[in-house]
Amino acid sequence: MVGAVLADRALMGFSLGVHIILAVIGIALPLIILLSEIMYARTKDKAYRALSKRLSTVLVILFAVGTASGTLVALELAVLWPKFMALVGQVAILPFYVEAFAFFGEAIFLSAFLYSYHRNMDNSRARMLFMAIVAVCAALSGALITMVNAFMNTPAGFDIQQYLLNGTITDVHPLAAFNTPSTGIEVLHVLSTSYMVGAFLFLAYVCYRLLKENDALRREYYRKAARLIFWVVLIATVIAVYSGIQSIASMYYLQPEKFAAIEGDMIAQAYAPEYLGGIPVNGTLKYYIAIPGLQSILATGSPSGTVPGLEQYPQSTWPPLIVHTMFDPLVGSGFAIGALLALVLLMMVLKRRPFESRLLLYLMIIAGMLSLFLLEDGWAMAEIGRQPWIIYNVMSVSDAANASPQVIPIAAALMLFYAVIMPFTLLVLRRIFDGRQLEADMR
Amino acid sequence: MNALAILNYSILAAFLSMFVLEVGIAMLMLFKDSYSARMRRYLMPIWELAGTTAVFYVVNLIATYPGMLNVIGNAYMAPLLIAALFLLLRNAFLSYSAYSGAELKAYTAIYSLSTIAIAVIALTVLSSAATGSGLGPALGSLDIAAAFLSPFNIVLIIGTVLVALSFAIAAFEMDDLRGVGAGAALFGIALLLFGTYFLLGAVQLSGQSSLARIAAAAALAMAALFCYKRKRVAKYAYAILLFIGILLLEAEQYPYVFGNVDITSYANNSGIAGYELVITAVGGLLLLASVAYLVYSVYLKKEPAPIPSSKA
Repeated sequence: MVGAVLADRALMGFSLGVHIILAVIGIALPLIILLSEIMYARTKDKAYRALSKRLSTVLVILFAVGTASGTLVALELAVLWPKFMALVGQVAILPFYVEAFAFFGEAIFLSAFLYSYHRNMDNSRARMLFMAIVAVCAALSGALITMVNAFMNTPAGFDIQQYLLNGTITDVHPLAAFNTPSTGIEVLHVLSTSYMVGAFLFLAYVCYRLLKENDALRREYYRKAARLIFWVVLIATVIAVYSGIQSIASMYYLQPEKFAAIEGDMIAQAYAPEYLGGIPVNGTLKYYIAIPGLQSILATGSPSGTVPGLEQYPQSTWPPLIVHTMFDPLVGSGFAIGALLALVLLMMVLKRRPFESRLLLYLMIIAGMLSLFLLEDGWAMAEIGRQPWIIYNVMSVSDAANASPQVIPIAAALMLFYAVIMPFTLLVLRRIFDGRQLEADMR
Repeated sequence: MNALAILNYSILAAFLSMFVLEVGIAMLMLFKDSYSARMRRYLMPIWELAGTTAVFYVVNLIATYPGMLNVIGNAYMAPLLIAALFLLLRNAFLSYSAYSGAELKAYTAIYSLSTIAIAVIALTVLSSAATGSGLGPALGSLDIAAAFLSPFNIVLIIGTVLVALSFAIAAFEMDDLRGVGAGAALFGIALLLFGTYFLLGAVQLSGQSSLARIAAAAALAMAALFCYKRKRVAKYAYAILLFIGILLLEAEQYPYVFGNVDITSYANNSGIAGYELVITAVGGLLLLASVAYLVYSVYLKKEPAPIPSSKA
């Protein structure tokens, strides 16, 4: 039983960990392609058209793999967590339901967009319209899925007391799933982070090409691409930082155990310090640096504000303290990326051509990888922080899990398969672009 | 049969119609190189719509019959996850093949074989869900070999393969295979009707009205006739009649699932149904408009005449 539940968790975690990379690219890429089309329509600069064409190839391949991994995640939700999905089906299924239509829109208009290139239609307006719809549908998909996650964090829309009492679902308000107490801030944070990380990965790739290329035409193409993508990354990062801080602050009253575990607070206290670093040892935090009063200020707006501590709650409902260890590098890498983006912006304002500096190009590549770490770490922290609950204070993970031992070999096979298919996809993409001339795409 | 059940069965029928065409394409791609380019041109929107409809069906099933998830999770977890693994393989290699050069044949073969594997697993799960074959006590487990080797499943797989072949032959106007297509359609339909009447009917508790079966037979036979006689309209007629035929065969099963369990015992009683119908109506209309526009702009709109070169 324990082995099966662990396998359920491992498979779901691994599948989602892979799928969110494809999902953030699927959200950010249509926006970048749309901006390229807009720039081409405005300037008639064929570099932007080539950028749109080449990125749409990447989008199609990643969309195909992403569709399959998304279907796998949907199936896993149904078969690995049947009790959970049965509850979602009766209370909070509508966001999933609407998402299916957004997904249809993405698939239909991506086909139309691609076909306009295959037929060499020089109808930029039509292409912009197609890609704008793809971009809106992709963002909508992300937002709607996040709404179900928000429901898991702050359940609403049914009589919870009655459910806890006898397991019956009564007084259902199906639309409540669209607007739980944590929905707004979660959606804003997930979407901004998706644009930030999805775009940053391409910015890092473009910077890598700038380091490698000597040809003037190609360098100019990659410089234009870097400048365009940079603005997406910058704006998304500002919103992601703001919404991230708000998201942690909202946990203070919505999920106090999660807040306390992330901050490393064992006891409730006023004038609470912010703990930097620290390792959980036997259920307490050790070896940290404390900044007096900062946590109270960030969480409550006042140094005298009281923050919750884990000891206020039964130990069986404590999330694993590892979430504090995951939180520190998240904040650290966020600061590092923010500082680098500010430096690039400053250089642009001073007309110092940031994408000519080899050092900055190297730093941007590192920052791109760091943004991916930030995405995975942030997501894992948020999910582990909700433990032991799958639906906060309503249903535990072990209650919801499929306890069939059959899952163990299948989980191992699927994880192994993922580990092969993802690098292979990158390899295929590389081979496609190695065999494709930029000059041909500019024609 | 209430509106929600009709909706649920219709989504499954829409998915199966598209997927049957894809299975036909996958099989022909393995053996008929000469039509590969033509099939590839239409494959992208077909698989995208088929895949998306499959996801929609999963979501609709969860919304309409949430109580069924315990049985699905306990009994069908293994085959469904294995099918999903093949789905990953299929999508990945199909998209690689669209942009590949020398590896095209190998990538296409992997796509085709994985699509066929998904079809075999999906049909086995469907037939087991319909007849209850292979299901253990209290519907808590599945003997996959028993489900696969059940007579209804074998007839269902062979019949579907034949119908899939004939549909793809009709859809891509393969003149040299018209005879094969017509024969495959008639034999496939006969097998499916035989299976439904004698094998599926044998495990059901209901009296079974024969009207639906006759209508299904007529619909599918008409499709076969179109396939043979009128090649220009055959693909559209085939798609529509196949959808109707599958829907009628599904209706034969209603209200039973997993052999002789009443499906309404798994229904959602939470009041979500009304919203489900409204969202489907609005979303469905938007989708139909989008698909019509896609078909018009991609397949029907005339390409602009090339501008004559001044050198010519």
